[in-house]
Amino acid sequence: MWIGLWIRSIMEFFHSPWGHVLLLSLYYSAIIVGLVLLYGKGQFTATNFVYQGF
Amino acid sequence: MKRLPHLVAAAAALLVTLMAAVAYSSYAGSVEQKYVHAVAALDHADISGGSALERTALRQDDLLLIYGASELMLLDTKYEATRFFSTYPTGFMVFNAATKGGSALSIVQRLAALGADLRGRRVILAVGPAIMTMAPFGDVAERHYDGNFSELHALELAYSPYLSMQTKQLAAARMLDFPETLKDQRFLTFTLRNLTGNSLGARILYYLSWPLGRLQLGIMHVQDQYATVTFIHHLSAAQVKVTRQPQQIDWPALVKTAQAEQIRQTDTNPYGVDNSQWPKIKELFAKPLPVGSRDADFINDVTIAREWSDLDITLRAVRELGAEAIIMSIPMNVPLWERIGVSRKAQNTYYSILHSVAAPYDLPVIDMKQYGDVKYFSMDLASHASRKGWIYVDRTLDKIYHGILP
Repeated sequence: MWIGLWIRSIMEFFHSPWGHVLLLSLYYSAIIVGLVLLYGKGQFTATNFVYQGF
Repeated sequence: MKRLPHLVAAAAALLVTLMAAVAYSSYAGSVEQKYVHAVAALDHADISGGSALERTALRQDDLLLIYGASELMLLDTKYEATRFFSTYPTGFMVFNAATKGGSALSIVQRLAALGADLRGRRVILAVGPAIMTMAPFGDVAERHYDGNFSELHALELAYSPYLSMQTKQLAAARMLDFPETLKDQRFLTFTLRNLTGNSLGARILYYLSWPLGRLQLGIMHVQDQYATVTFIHHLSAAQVKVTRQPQQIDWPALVKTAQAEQIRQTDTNPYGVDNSQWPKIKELFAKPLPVGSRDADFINDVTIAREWSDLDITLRAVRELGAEAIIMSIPMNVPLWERIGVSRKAQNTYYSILHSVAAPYDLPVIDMKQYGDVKYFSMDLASHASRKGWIYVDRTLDKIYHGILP
C-alpha cells in the first residue's frame, strides 16, 4: 500500500516542472558520464620508438 | 524553466561536470604535490606527454628542472643526475625532463605547455651538439620528433596566450614540416595552417577556433592529471619513498672512480668510445683522416643546421614566458672528432654559433667547452655523457643550483 503511494508521489514529482528538469539533468549527466568513460582517458605516454642515435 | 527545460537541464549537467572536474583537479594537485619528489627519481616516460607533474615540479624549490635530449638520457648509470642526487646529498634533486631524441622543437612545445607557471622559474636547457653536427641538414629526425610529440604540448603552444603571434607562427611553420606526425591531428593541423597563413581569412579562422582550442585543452588538462594520478597510484611503497641524506661529495675521487668504470666499458676500441656505441661508428675510424681534412664540410654542416633556428624559437619562447633559463651545453668530443678529420678550430664553430644564437636573449650559457679534451667525458661522437662525463655534469648542476654558476 505505502509502496504504491510512494511510487505515485515519485511519478507526480517527475511530472512536475522541477521533476522533469531533474530527470533531464540526470539524462544529460548520464550522456556526459558515458562520453567521459568512452573518450575521457587521454594519451600521454610517449610513442614507442627505438632511439637509434646518430 | 517551464519553457526551456532541456536548456536548464543541460546547463545543470554541465555545471555538475565542471564542478566534478574542478574537485578532481584539486585532488590530483594534492597527489602530485605529495609524490612529485618520488616521481622525479623514477622513469616517468609513461606520462611524459603531459605537463601536470612538470608544473608541480616547477613549484618545488628543491627540484631543478632539466630539458634536453639523449645527451642526458642514453646511458643507464648510477651517476645519471636523477640517481646521483636522489638522496638530496647537497639539498636538491633533479627533475629530468630530457628525452631520447629530444630537440629544440619538442622542448619549445613542452615549455609552452607550462605557460605562466614558468615565469620567474629556473630551468636548465641542456643543448648538445649531436643534431647540429651529425643529423642530415642539422635537423631533428622525423622518427625522433614523432616519438616525442605530444598533442597537449602542441595545442598549448598553438593556443598559448603568453606567446607572441610571431613566435607561434615560427613554431607552427616548423611543426608543419613534420606531416607524418600530424596525420591524425586534424584540428591541430587546421590550427597550425591558420596560424601560418597570411590571409585575413586564416587569421579569422584561427581566432574563431580559439574557444574550441581552449576547451579542448581544459579537457586535456584533466585527462593529464588523471593519467598522472593513475601513474602515481601504480607505484610501490618502495618507489615512493624519498630519502634525504646530506653528505659532502668528494668530486675528484668520484671522477677517478667513474673513469675507472668507464675505461672498463671501452675495451673494444682504442678511442675511448663506449662499447655500446662503438659498433655504430667504428666504420668512421677504419681509416683515420688527417686533422683538418674535413673541416670545410663540418663547418658547412654546423652552420646550416636547422636546429639552430629551432633553438632560436625556443629561446624566444623562454623570454616571452619569463623563465629564468640557463643554457648548458654538453661539449664536443674533441679528440674523437679530430680522429675523423675535424680540427679543434672547426669544432669551435659549434660554440661560436651557440653563443651567437643565445646572445640576443641575454641568457647565461655554460658551454662546458673546457671538458672537450677530457678523455672519457663523452662515450661517443654525439657527446652522450659517459659515467665520467656525468660526474662533471652533476657537479655543474650542483654549482648551478647553489648559485656558484653561471
